[in-house]
Amino acid sequence: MKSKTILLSGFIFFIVSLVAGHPGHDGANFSISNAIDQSPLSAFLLAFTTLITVTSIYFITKITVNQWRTIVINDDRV
Amino acid sequence: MTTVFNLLDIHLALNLLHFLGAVMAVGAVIVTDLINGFLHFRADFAEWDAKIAPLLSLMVWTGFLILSVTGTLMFLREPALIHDTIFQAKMLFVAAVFLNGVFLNIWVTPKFKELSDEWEDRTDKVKAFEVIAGISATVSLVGWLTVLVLGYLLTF
Repeated sequence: MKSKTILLSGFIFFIVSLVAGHPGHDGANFSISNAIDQSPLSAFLLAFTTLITVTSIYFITKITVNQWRTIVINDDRV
Repeated sequence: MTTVFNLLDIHLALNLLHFLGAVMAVGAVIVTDLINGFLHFRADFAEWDAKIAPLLSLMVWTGFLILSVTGTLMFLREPALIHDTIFQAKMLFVAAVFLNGVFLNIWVTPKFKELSDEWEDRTDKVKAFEVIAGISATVSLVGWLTVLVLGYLLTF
């Protein structure tokens, strides 16, 4: 159970990092420093959205692993 | 072919994914709240609901993940949004539904699973739980719909 949790959360985190780290095909500017320059609130907002991302990954992993038998093997004895 | 190249535009792609995340999360929230409301009148559905609830929760958190990643990227492209009142209001409601979502997953869902066997007996524990879960569900539904509306208003 624990190894499945770690594996799944690591995989999701990897995919999210790939997506979030993509520079954009038109050279789009994803500058964190520019955002923080606008207002100190931006730093707080970015920390908050990071918290949401991490928490989402945690719950997705937890629910998926707990429900593994129901989702994957179609066994409703959970 | 033009549509394909248009979709490769990062701004459009992020907006579309953000919208899809919202559809996923809000859709699952509405279904969850309707089922839970229905449960008040059909207590015999409690065991079935206890099995379905985690899967709907999974949909909400997947939607939340898509929303947070795409939302962060969209914000980094337009950091001036931080000064927009509608954006600030939207993020306050996002904070409310996020905290409510954590509460739902940490306390409400496990408690519901624990009480599903005695649901039909309408014990005092079940009634007390219904009040708390009802408030949480209302916060969730109103909060998410408000976020959706405020997000739409931001496009103007």
